Amino acid sequence: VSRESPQRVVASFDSATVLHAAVAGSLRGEPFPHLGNGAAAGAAMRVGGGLPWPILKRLYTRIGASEGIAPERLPEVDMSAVAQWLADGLPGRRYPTVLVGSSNGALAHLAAAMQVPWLPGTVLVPVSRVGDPRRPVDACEFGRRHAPAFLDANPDVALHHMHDQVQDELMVARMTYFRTKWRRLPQAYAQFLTDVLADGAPVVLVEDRSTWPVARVGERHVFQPGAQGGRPPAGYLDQPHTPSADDESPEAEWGADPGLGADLQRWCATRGHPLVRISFTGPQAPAHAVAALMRDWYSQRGEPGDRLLVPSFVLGDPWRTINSAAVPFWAFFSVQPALRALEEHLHRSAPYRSVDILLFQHGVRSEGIAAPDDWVRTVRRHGARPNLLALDPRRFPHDIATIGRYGRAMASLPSARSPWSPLDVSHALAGLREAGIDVSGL
Amino acid sequence: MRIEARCDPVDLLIGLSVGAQVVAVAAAAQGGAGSPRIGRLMLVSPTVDAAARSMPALLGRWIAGGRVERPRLFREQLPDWRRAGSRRLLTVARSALAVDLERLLAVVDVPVDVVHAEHDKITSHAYAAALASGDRRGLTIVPGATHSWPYSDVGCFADLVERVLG
Repeated sequence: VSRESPQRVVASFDSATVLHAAVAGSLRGEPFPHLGNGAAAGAAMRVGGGLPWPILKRLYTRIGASEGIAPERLPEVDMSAVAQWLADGLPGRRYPTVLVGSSNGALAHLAAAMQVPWLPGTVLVPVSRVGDPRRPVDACEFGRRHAPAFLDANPDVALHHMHDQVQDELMVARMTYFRTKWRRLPQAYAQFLTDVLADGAPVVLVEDRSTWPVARVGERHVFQPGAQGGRPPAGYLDQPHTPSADDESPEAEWGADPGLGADLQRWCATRGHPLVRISFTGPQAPAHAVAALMRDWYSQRGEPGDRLLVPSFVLGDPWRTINSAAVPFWAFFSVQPALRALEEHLHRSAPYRSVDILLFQHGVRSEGIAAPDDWVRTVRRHGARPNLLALDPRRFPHDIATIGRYGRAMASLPSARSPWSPLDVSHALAGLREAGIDVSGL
Repeated sequence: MRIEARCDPVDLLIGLSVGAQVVAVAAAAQGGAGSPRIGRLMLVSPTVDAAARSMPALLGRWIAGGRVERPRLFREQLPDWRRAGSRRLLTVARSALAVDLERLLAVVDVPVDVVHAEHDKITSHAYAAALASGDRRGLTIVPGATHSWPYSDVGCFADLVERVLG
């Protein structure tokens, strides 16, 4: 049986793969323009982004949908090869720790500051499927039909089939989201940890404990209507043609499968590596703590720390952020809950002089979206100067060319004043705890 | 060897670029036993990156590095190069390619600080970071800087040396 190549299997636009690539880039000391795509792709995005939205919308949807694999090829997907590909994407050298688990942009920036790798616990396998986005029940039936062969071929994973017709309206018309969580430590991850960890170095489990109501389809298969963003679960479940929820499960994109944590704990116990858990609820939760911690670190480096940068979902560049001594406050999407979190951060922090804002766009004005003006007003209310980086606000939420432009904008940020050394791991973990994040095992 | 024979012990020996290889040779030559005559090494923009260890690759990186350096640097270095002559410069390049810095550091028994510039096109960050990983090793990154940054930012260089010396 031929196997699908790992790069072909996982989505290149997903939080896990893009944040993983951004962290890997920072470990290679490389900036991260156009989400890690080549210069030609960046130029195409900038040029294509100028097309009228009705044309661009079709292109955007088609290109995104082209990432989906044919459902009949699902049995050929080898998730252990995906894990190997993710481990191979990280520079091999001695590290003081490795992060494993939930995707989180704030912690990706922290990993870059500590110069340590992160191995994702969840990846997205997009599957080709044409259907009506307003009929999640059809997507669920599609999963019931096609997922068993995929799960039989991959006994160490659980499938969280996700359908968000609000934020992913354009994409779910032509593909469906098989979010896949490892329930055991993949062999490739175990080997990577063995190869790169210093003797007695801790392993850090990143554990987002957020859950979502789901319809259980099988022992390792749930269907999640909706996703974290601007609409709460009830807002999805109340919609017609939506399967009823009969269970609660780790959130498909961000939530941690407890099986991976348990297996990692066993691995650590037998190898003499302490396991440290960073636990929180929801992707937005660590952003304030990371920002506060990094601002403090910049101050110790002699930097003013008065410039805040708001990376958005996968739109960001940890390496350039740190080298320009910009304080990162990561927003999981451009939605009202993330905006409220920024407001809270600005309220709790000493004033910033300026705030650079990156806004990732899904191409739809979805419920709960936070528009550029909302971000600008919030920043102004706290006495800072807002700056929408690489964005034409008149085209929001369709300014897809932002993806091709933000790299240049990040490159033009002024450099930090002083040389720096990677943030000490113990200091970082203690700092997270001081800032209110649950860190155990220190 | 000259340090051992003629000079007082030094607290910190600094090498820039191929100079990093020279100081590593000196530190490796002093061995591990007894009190070291070199107390600490600082390797600034150390060469030659393992991924560019051939004459064409090194030349390619050197040209790429030259594009991001200040134009004045070339004028500043030219008199030295003239004095050295092409034959000696070629010897330096051959010698740099022959000296395997990571192997040398494996037998160096003193603390090592590796300093890497953000925009260094000659030495990769991955190589510098790999040299800096391990006990009593440290990595320092100089934001916005290029391979030969100490020539243009003497103040920053002096501050860094002061910081390392504690």
